[in-house]
Amino acid sequence: MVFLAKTSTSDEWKAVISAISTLVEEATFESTVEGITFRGMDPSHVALIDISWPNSAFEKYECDSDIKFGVRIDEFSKLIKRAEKNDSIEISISEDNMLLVSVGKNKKYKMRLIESSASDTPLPKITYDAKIALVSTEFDKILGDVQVVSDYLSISASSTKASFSGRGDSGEVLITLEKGMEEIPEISVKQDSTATYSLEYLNPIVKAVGNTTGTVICEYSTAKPLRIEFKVANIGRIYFYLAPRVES
Amino acid sequence: MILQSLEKIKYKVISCKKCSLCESRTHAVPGKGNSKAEIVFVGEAPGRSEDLKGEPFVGSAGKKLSDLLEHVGLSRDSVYITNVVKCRPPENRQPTKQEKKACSDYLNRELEIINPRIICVLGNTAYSSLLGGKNITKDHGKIVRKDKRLYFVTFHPAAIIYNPKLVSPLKKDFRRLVKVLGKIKNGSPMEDFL
Repeated sequence: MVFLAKTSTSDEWKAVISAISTLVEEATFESTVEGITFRGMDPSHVALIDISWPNSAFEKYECDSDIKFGVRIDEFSKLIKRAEKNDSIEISISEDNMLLVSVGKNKKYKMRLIESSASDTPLPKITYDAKIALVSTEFDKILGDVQVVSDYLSISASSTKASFSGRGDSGEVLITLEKGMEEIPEISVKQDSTATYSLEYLNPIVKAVGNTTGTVICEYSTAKPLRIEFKVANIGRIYFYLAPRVES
Repeated sequence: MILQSLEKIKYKVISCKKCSLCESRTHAVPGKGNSKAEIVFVGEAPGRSEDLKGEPFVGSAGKKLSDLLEHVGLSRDSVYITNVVKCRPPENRQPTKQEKKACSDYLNRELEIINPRIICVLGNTAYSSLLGGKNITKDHGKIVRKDKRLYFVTFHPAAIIYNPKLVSPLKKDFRRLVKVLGKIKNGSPMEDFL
């Protein structure tokens, strides 16, 4: 078995790990000839992350057969955080089934792998009626603005504008972005759509990945899951799915 | 055996003679609490006080459990409390495999009827019976999904009677349990859309 994946900096793994750490404590990565993927749901099955990291995004990538390797995210995160920004990260798997991580020029870690318990997680089958591209810093600001009064973000989109609102015991907020504004490079709506999502899930993922991406693409339909696409340089794409809040 | 309501389960439990624990018990101890509870707590087996009163978690461990519930703003009336084994094993020994198996129908039906959002597994015996786990010291605070049910694993409240150092981690686990419950209620399950 040959498996080796090298990134030229540590930023890529830091982004991947911080995205995954918002949902799960243990992660199973799958490596194939095409690259590395991860898909996992949080234990309560409200949110799902789907990461596709193509071989072309690595400085060096070799994999001659499909392999799965599981790590404890907190352990892996601590290790990756020891890397300076410009340190390369090279991972491979030893003959005694340990994860070998070379950090920069001279640090070589050996980390125990965990038994892979991941089952195949299907993706939600949704036809998205609304697509909104947002400057990621603006999206982060909107989440912060809504958090002041609510734990939930409601998104309404029509062909001309997108509205972000929240309502709580202390009051309410409405933020409107009209088509053509620089904060919202794209809005396309097949059908006016409104749905509500938990900020408890949205805030951590946007904080974790948002600053590594210029634009985020939000797609959703009324009372259906939200899919956020983060295009991250040197990784490929990270999809984050969040089930809607259902009023009880 | 089809048990359609918690009342029927209770009746079956108090008259149960499926294993030899029925010979040494004072009272069998069926589960107690809210039939619409979002959290079900599952302990090991009744102790002396529970055996005398016929109610779960009413002794010193029960007092600790009440304190922990209060710590996170939950009342005993809002949750459901039960045990893997419904009769006290003599001398508070650990229940045997046969005793756990004899009682498993009752617990399964309790969980099916209540259908809680999350099941809080208290201590190693419950952890081993429900999830096949072994090491509560290492795994406490863990969330496990099994057979479409969500479990939260923590110490048995009795553990803090013998080891006060566990008060802080147990309180922390209970805070996390409530946080997890809050998160679950924040969204509908993704399965509805797969």
